[in-house]
Amino acid sequence: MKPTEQAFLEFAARTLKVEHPTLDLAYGDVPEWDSVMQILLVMKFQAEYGVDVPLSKVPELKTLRDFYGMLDE
Amino acid sequence: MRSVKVRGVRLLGVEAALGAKEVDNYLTCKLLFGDKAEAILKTTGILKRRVADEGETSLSLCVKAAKKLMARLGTKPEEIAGVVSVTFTPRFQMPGNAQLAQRELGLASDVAAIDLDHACAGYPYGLYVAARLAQDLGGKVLVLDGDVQTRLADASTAALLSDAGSATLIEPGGDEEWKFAFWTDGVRADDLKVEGGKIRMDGFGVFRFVAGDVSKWTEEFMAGERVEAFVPHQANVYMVKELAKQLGLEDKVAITGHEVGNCASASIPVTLARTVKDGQKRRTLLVGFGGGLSAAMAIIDA
Repeated sequence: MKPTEQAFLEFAARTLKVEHPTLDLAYGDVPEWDSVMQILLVMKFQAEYGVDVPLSKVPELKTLRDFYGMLDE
Repeated sequence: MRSVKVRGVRLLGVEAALGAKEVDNYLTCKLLFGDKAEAILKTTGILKRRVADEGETSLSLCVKAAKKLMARLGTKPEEIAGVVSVTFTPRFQMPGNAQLAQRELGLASDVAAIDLDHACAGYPYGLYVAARLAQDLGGKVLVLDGDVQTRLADASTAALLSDAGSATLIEPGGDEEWKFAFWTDGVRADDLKVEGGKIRMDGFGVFRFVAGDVSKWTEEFMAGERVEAFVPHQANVYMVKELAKQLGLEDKVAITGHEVGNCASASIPVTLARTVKDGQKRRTLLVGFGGGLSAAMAIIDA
């Protein structure tokens, strides 16, 4: 079942270690979300929600909305 | 995609020589990144790295590997018709490593000595040039691939890089068919370059290159081919495993990055040296990628 937006944002806040992120937060917007964190975010996202993120899809995940949208697929 | 086949060459053996110092990468990460150390280790998958001693160079590591290989195979220096060096950290700007290897290995004066200036995509280039050379000269050719790159590291790359040299020996003959393809996107050259004496990398730019372009080209390159083993450049263990998954080769991929780090273009022969078994050749896909941005692929019997 798809998590609520609030639950997903809490997961993102824990992983990125940023306070009160919104779905519009994008890669590079905050120093915490760099290339290392992008990979870590993908790895934890896969583990948390049981979603397979193909390698080719990773560069397309530029905002938290992109990640959240993957849970629709 | 343009590809080229070379028929009638065979691999005789591969040996590697790693930088003398083994480094616990957790300590490097802790020192450089503090609390972020675990995240770096998890996303790179590199647990140990190898760093050259002060006296070691790309040349000395390759020569060490070549001596070990020639001794194991019983190859005499006069049997070597050509030597191809691949490095972006040569011992000197001039003369090149290939010429110096002629002296260090006691090769004949009529040896063809060729230097290729290439980073992480270099090994398939070296094999291709060596295969052609072996056929044209009718003799054995050494590929010496190695870099001492940790001296060019800064905080953004130090947790990835290792130093290593390698030697690969091929000879003309037999009916094996090797296939090669090459790709260059110089528009994105700034994503990975040496500037001001340091390696500058846009990590996400390189990741995008591998996840998108390299992955797509490799799928095209291997379409219809029999692949029994996959040896990619060990840039980052996570990325290599995901690339293998994308290609449907997760049960055939060889991983050494966790133990030896990213050894630039030598990471492919360093891995081959650990996986190739004499008398048990497999159709092996090699994929190098990196500075250029560039990629090079080969399917060989190894």
